[in-house]
Amino acid sequence: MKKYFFKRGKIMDLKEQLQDIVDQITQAAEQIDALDELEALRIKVLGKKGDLTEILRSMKDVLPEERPMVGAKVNEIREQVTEFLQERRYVLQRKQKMQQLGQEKIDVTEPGAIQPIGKLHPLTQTMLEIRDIFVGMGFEVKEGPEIEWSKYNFDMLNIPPTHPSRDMQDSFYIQSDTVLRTHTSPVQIRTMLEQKPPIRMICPGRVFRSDDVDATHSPIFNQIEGLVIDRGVTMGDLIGVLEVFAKEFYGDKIKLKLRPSYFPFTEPSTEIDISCTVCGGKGCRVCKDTGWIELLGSGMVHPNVLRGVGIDPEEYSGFAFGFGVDRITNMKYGITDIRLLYEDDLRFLKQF
Amino acid sequence: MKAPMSWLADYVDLTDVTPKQIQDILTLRGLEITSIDDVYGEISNVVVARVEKMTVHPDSDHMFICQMDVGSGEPLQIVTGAQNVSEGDWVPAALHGATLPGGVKIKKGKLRGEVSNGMLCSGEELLLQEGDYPTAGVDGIMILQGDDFVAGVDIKEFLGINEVVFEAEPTPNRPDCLSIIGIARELSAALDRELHLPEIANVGELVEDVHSNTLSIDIEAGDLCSRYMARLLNDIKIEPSPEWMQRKLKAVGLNTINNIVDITNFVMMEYGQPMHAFDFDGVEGNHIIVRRAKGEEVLTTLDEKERTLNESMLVIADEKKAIALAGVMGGENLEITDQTKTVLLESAVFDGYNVRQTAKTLGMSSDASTRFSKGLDIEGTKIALLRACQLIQDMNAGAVQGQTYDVCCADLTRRILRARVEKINQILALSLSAQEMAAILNSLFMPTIVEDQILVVEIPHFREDMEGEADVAEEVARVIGHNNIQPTLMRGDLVRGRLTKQQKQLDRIRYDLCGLGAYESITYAFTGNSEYDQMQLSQDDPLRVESVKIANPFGEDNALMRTTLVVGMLNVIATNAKRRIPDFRFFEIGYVHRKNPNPEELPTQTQMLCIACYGPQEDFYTLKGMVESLLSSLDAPASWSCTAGGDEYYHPGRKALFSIGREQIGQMGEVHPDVCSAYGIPKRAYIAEISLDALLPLCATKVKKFKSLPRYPAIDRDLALIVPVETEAGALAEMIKRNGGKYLQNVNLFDVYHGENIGLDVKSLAYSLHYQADDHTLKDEEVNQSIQEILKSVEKGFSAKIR
Repeated sequence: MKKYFFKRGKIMDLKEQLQDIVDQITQAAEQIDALDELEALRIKVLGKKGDLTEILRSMKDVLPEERPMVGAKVNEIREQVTEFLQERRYVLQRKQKMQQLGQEKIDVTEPGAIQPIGKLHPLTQTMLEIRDIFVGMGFEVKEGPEIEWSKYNFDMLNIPPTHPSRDMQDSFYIQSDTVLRTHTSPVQIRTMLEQKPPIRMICPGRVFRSDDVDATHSPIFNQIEGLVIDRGVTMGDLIGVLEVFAKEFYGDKIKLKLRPSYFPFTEPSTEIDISCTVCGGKGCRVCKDTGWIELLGSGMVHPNVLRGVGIDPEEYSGFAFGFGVDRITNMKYGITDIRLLYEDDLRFLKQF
Repeated sequence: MKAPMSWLADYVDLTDVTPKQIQDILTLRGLEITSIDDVYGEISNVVVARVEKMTVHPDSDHMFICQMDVGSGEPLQIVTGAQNVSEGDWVPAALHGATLPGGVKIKKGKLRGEVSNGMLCSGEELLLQEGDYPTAGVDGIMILQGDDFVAGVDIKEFLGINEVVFEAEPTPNRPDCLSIIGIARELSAALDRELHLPEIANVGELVEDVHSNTLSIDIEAGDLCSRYMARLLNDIKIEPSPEWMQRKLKAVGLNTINNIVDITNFVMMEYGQPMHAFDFDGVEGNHIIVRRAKGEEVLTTLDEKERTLNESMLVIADEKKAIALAGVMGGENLEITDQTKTVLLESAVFDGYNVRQTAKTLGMSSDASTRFSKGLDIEGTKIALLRACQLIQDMNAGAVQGQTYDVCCADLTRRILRARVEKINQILALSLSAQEMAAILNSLFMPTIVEDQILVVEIPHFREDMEGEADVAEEVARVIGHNNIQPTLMRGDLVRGRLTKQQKQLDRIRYDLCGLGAYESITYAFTGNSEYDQMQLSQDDPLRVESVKIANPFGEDNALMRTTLVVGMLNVIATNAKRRIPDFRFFEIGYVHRKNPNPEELPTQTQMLCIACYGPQEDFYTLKGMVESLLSSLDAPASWSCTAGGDEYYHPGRKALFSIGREQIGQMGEVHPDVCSAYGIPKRAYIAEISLDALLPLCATKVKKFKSLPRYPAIDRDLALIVPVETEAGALAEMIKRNGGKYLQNVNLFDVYHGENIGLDVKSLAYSLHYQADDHTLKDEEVNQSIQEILKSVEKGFSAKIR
């Protein structure tokens, strides 16, 4: 680049010279694609010994009356150049960054570094899902002892000492008056003894029956039972509440069918079937071609039971129901052998 | 209980009702029909036909062209290859469009050029055997026997194999439905068709004088036998029972034996009343005694097994010996044989509970014992006896003597039940009139009248289950149909639906532990001493001796209620480790039980949490870290502490007790190598157990108060101390904390070093100390002063020196 010097009386020249400098710098800068070269150019032009500085130094040769005008012009050019170089630097920096990021590219399809996370047992998942539906309908959750008084497990539920379920072959006894509870119904008895109506409660828990172990039987399994006691509770309420439950749990398309049944502690008693969750009611292997599967047993609480816990059946009525959590879980996931639930094989538990 | 449709049709008209309809009707009324067995159901369009004319097939030396009379008026040509057919024979003919068992379809076609409009059938093709029809087993066509044929009659109807059998499962309160008539009664009510009971002709007068020269009856155990009726029959001719009776018994799954025994079984199925026939000539002293067995009394029952009885069992005896186990099985000594001349026919009601206990104790449940167990109709005792006598007479199997003996300890008056119409409507959410309800009860054979909006119901003895108003409501509900009750939603005061504090804490624990990588396991609550042996528990270990024993367990290995969740967890670890799963974390929440010293109370029940880690990445500290994270998440008091110690099944040098204040809340450690090898666990395993009943109440539930964030910079210092090798890092940290002054906020162990260059009897513990003041920027001098204080105290307390 040639050097420029101010000469007295050559103002027009000067302007041209300056424009010339700008053009040359711009051109030079546009061809630079390394940051250090750009910096070198900046120093060459704007540095202490740079071209523009030198032009400014030569201001002493300019006529005093022209100095302000020339000075202003030079400064304007300086700003213009500075700004241009600055911009150019941003461009180069961005380009360099992009290059660098490009080199840092990774294979996003490689697997993640797994942070171990566990899962709840399928029985617990079912239990919690059912529980939450009933809590939403105003039910409390009660628990009770697994080793229970025979009185609470049988007598107060209108199950007389001569009833077959009380035989040693069907129930596990600790002593004649203590038994491994055969259902969670004694929790209902305890609740009614402790609490005045209105009562809305569910009682999830483990129960024990002297069944030999096979694919569908286990001496230990889980139940959720429920109880509602209030003034004027009707069988319509029983059906209504369990219909809400079934639709929440299985979806709005589910249909209910009631079959009269028998339990010592409810009367009338009714068994509730739902349209088969596998075939939707057309008939399949799961529902044995009937289109229906058993969901739960229920009924209006027997007046004898109410009287036994000191609730006047003339004033109050209620209903009770009970599910087998294991059966519902197996049905839901298509598990064909109840024993898998208690084996705790990790490969099994990981599936749910 | 098997109920053949044809047998039901003897008592109630079933024309125009399909088996499926019957199943639905009965099931929706509470008498569940679990299945319909219809073996011959597939056979269709097979008719009785006569071979009018037979000619040899022109193009075949073994086929015949038959012109058949199939009842259509026109002869029908059918070609057959069978060699046993002659002109004039009556045979089953499958016509065009017929179906045979197995879904085989018959269509008309040509056989070697000759039109064949169907097929003549063999017994085998109709799924019949010689036992079903005499000629069914022959090689060739099943030639029908007899001379009373109508061409075109459906073969199933002709052979009486039109047998649809229902499997009925009556609920326990309805033992009356364990009989064909009981089920027919329900059907009659459901279909609104008349019930036709067998007409029992007068077969002799009834006497209640039970002591005569020919027979006397005494009930010594009146509490176990409410009615005993008997009848004597002479001139017994033992022979097979008639074919119609055999067919009925076979259809309900009973074997046929001889006419007398078959009649008792037939009546049992028909009326639900079990009966027994004794060879009366063997009855010593012509005296029947109903008594408890004598201790160690021996009786050989009909199944040829010798039974040793006890005093709780009821027997029928003569003056010298027991001759039957009442309600369970007869004795071999008075079995009906071909030589039997005189029969004593028994129809009685024994105590159901006693019969069931006897049957169960001796392991010999029978159709009879089941019926006695569930309860009998005390009025039916007599009807059944008379029916059996009538059948014996009708079948010429013997001569009925003139007397019916009846010893009855029960009150035979029918009970009257009163039920309020309003109350029933209220419970069922219905609005029926009193007359409508009365009609329902009348249809169920319970005579009912209405008195001032009250139903007055006469309860027949076959409905002993009817005890109160609720039972009446139940009858009304099942006849109206449960599905016809409109669903409603509960009304009344709002009730709070909520979880308790502890239930929420349990949810939190479950989800936290999943977040910490653990899977939830659920194991059985039973354990046994062999399991405790594997755990290397000493004989007097409280976990062993305080176990609650099950009186009637599934074997010794399941005889105890677990006192610790560790038993189950060790099995879970072993199962997964043996299945080559390299690493895992598990947790279980469950109850453990211990004997209660106070016999007035139930055994103690404690809710426990058990956590386990297994795998190359795991050690004592990973598990301890999980426990610490959990305690922090639960807002357990910061004062919880951990000291060396714990049960014997842990590694003696790697076990710790957790406490909050003075209360021990749990323990953890590496599983003792001996325990691991006893369970076949190949690598080190770590287990923690925490009593949730102890821990959860101690966890904070107060609303937390906000503390402003630090406004002044903190200072962190590292402090490495050389201490004797046995020094506990926790205790040292505790001392540092106590002596570090008010600005010391946190003490964290970050390095433990043990090596020759510092001497093998010492180790280096490096802590990072975090200082922070709320009100000013800390100066170095303040921190230095604290460090000096710390050094002084740890030197005194632990002979610790700065490294």
